[in-house]
Amino acid sequence: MTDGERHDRIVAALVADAAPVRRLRPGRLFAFWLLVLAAVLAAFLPRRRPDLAPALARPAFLADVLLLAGAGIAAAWLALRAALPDRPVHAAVDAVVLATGAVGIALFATGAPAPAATLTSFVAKGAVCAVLSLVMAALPWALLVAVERRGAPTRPLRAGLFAGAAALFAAAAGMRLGCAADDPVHLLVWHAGPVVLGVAGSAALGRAWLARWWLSGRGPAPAGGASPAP
Amino acid sequence: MERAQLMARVQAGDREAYRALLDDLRPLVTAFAARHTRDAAAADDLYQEVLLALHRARHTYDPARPFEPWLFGIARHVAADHARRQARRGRWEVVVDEVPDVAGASEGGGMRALEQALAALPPAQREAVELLRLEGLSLEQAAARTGATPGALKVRVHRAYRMLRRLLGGST
Repeated sequence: MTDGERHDRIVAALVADAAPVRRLRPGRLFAFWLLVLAAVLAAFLPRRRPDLAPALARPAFLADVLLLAGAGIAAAWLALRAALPDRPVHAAVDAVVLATGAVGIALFATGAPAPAATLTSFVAKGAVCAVLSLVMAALPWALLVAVERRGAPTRPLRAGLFAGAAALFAAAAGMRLGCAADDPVHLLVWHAGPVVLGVAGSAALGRAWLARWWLSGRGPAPAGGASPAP
Repeated sequence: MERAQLMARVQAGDREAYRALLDDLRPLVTAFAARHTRDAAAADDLYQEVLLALHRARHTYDPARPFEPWLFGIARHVAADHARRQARRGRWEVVVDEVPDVAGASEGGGMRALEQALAALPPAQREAVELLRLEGLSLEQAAARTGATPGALKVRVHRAYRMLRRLLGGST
């Protein structure tokens, strides 16, 4: 068989499988993700700290929340764009987004130290915060990864990293609104710890799950078919 | 018609547009595969994988954007993965003595898909599968018939089965 005949056979197989597809649209997906994030934060707001109003009047606290929320939202946009193979990657933009989140984390160190507590009390209280952070981040993270798996990411580690950063920076912002503790050690261990570990874990999962999408057997969503996201 | 316009029609399910687009891309993808591989067999593998990746990713293309960056973004990613696998294979590839049965070959419903998949293989790989499985020759007999060494035949069969698994796994 000649190269031309082989090409014709391959084309015949692909054309036979060419049903209409639902395009992956990052703008709509981003809007949907923001709605989901708002719903998740609203579900946790009843747990807000009792001194929230005076805390928000403190510039460092307000900056902390805004930086973390802003970094999370920007990271979500980058994660969604990472699902498309032709979107340019700007290292400077990546660095600014991650640095914004890092500064938000660093501002944890400016909180008022708490009186010394027992190790048991420190761990018991802190573990609740760590678990809540991860629970709050779970659905926003899963949505971003689902979009990336449906897409065609050409930098899978980066895609996973920004999915994790988006969910966990946003969750960290939510936790600042919900957790009354301002002690730097508590914040750095139990609020920053899940962020750092979670972003690293998400990057590793991205590298494992998102690399070889064309061999997974998953196809694009059919046009007109049911889909959980626009 | 511009490739972006063709691709928009492909997304709407226009099969003739898809055929025209794939035919138009053939020299581009062939040249790309040749530049990114060391031999003709590997170039054949890469060529097929790029077309398969393009097929699986067609819903990610935005017709308002240029087509070529989308195509080559996919192609470069597939080529990089291909190169990594080639390097790993060179270190640990196990060539089996017993050629396994092809899954679904005895099932009537899978025969047509199998025939199409076999026809899509590079000539050397298809010949190896046909001689060893369909004609039932031994490795030595098949090697004498083709002029290749038994080791080379084992490699061709191994690659053929891998591609068959991908093609049949995507259509079933």
